[in-house]
Parts: sequence; C-alpha cells; structure tokens
Amino acid sequence: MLDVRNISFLPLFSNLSFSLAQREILLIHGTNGAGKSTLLRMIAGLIQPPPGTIFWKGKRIQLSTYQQNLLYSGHSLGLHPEALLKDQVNLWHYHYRVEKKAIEEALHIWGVAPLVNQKTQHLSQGQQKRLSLSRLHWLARPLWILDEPHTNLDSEGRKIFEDSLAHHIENEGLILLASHEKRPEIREICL
Amino acid sequence: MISRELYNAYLHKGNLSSTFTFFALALFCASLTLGPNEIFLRQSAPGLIWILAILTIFFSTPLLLKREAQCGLLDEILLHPSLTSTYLLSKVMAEYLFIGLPLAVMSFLLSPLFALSSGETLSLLLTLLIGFPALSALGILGSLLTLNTQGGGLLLSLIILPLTLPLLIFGLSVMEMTQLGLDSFPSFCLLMGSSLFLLILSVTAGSWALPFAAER
Repeated sequence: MLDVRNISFLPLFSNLSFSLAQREILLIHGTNGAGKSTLLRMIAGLIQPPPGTIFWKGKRIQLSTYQQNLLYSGHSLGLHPEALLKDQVNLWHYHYRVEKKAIEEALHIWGVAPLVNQKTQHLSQGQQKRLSLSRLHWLARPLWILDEPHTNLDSEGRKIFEDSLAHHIENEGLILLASHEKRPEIREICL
Repeated sequence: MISRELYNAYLHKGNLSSTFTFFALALFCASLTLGPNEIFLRQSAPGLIWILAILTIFFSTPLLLKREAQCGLLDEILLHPSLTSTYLLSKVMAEYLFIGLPLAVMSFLLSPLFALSSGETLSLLLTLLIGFPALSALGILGSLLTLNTQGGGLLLSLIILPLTLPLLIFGLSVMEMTQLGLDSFPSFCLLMGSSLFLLILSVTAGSWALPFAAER
C-alpha cells in the first residue's frame, strides 16, 4: 500500500526504495544521525518529499488526502506546554474531532488517567510519552509512522505499546518504525 | 480549527498576563516621564500607545509560537486536512480576542493618564481595534519566518516592523484629525484598507512559510 521509490536526502541517504503492505511492520534501523527521523518526516510529508517518490495505494500522493491516513509520532510529543492533562484531552477533541470518551478510555489503558489535573510539562518523560502514544488507541489511521516510540517507556509501557502494535497489525494496519535498537522479528532496512 | 485555536490561546493565559502587565506598566511609566504638560501628553499619547502595542504583539507572539513548535504542535497542524490559511486565520482571530481586545481595552482605561478627551479615546480605541488583526497576522508571519533562526528578534524587527508603518501612519492620522476637529473618516478608510491588505498578505505569506518553519 505504501511505496517509497528512489527517495533521497543528501548526504543522509540516496535512492532508497521500499514498500510496505497491510499487516506489515518495517523497522528503519540506523545509528544516531543516520537520517531515520528525516526519512520518517519525509514519508509523513512534514519535509516536502521529492515529487514522484511516495505512492499510497498505487497512486502518487496528494499530501492533504494522504496525510489523513497516517498517524505520526515524532520526537516532539505534540503536548501543549501549558495544558493540564484534561486540557490536552479537550485540545485533541477540538483538533481531531474525536469523542472525549474514546480519549479518556485510552488514557486508562496507558495508565495516565489518574493524572488528569496535572500539567503535561510536570509529568515525567515516560508519562508524557504514554500520553502522546495514547493516540494509537483513539486515532484510527491505517498507517502508523513512529519515531523511536520506545524512548522513556518502562517495561509496562512497552508491553502496552507492543500490544497496540499487534492489535493494529491484526486490523490490517501498516507500521513504519524507526529505532536504533535491533528487532530480529521485524523486517528492517538499514540507514 | 477555530475552536482549537481559541482553546489553545486560552491555555496560554499564564503567559498573556505578563504581556498585559508589561503593556500597562510601560504606559504608566511613559505617562510619568512625559511630565504634567497636558498638551504634550495628548499629542504624544497616540504614537506612544501604538508603538507599545506593536512591540507587545511582536514580543509575545514569537514566544508563544516557538513554544508550540518545540512541542510538535506545528506538526499536528500540518498533518491536519484543513488549509494552512484556515489555521492562520483562526490563530489571528484567537490572538485578536485574547491579546488585541484586552490591549485595546487597557489603552481605553489608561487614556486618562494622557489627558485624552472622550472623543480622542474612542478614536484611539477604534484605530487599535481595526489595526490589531493585521498586527497579529504580521506577528505570526514574522514568528514563522524566524522560528528556526538564532536571534530571531532582530530579524523580526528588520523584516516585519517596516510593514507596520501604514498602520502607524493612518492610525495616527485618524488621531490627528480627531484632535484638530476635522473629518477623520478618510483616514479611517485608509487604516481599514491597509489593515485588510496586510492581513491578506501576512496570511498568504504565512501559508507558504508554515511548512518550512516546521521542517527541522
């Protein structure tokens, strides 16, 4: 469903091609500074990709329509610096037009629901990551683009995350994952 | 998008209180330093208030936008199906309601410090209300252009400050006409026209600048 053909961003990578089908995870593996985040941002359209390099469902992408199919989670967590956790829920509700109840259920799953009256910037790094990754549960998008999603997660957080991945794959989803950690069970490309 | 930006601006209320305090204190100190000469106070008040309003907007907007960009909120905007111009217009509207309107009201309330008559105070309030949408839009444009630069404040002054001159000239012209007892309607029309033109220009240029600002 997702085809990337001869994409380049010199001097980080050149003529990189791969494809990703439904129910498939692809790991972009590489050392720090290898260009993993840049590649993911290009595939998400946050850095303008060269024309004719990204195809979605066999067609050249139109950014605005293609981006409605993806969930991007980068290094910046997308949490409002001044918001209480419940304000963040409201902000997501206004931005994504998702029911607050669905978001609150996801917060329970990720174990951050009891923190609703705390400022997001006062949460620990791990709690902030959990809050940000709760989008995996309430934002229904087929293509997940996740940049170093394990960072700052404890073992319980990792378990919830791995369960989310498995559930998404069962539901015909596609996952593009960047990490400097090797995952032998997942197909990978090296940068 | 409008409700999101209104809520977003509301969440910045803590930062906005320091913006308003700066504006009120600066006006108060200026009125004290100008001395007790009423004629001099009345003549210098409009220019002083306008320049302080411009500086307040240009100091506060980049700080708010920079914090949002650092937290990845601009990425969310770019991934949203709405047009970037819709986002920018919503942001201008939110800034107008949460910064522009309170600053205009504060100018109105503090006008007795400058011995302005009721007619002059009303004219000043109207010129600020007409000028603020363009000022907010220019502030947002400047912030986007200087988001990824070191020393963005200086660049902002060089690039954007000259664009505020039409607002300043026509805004002060309205005040001068009012103080002389002449018809200020033509100057009002020119102020409205330049405000609208700068708003459209800033939103168009901002739509172009937004994706580059988010490319980090």
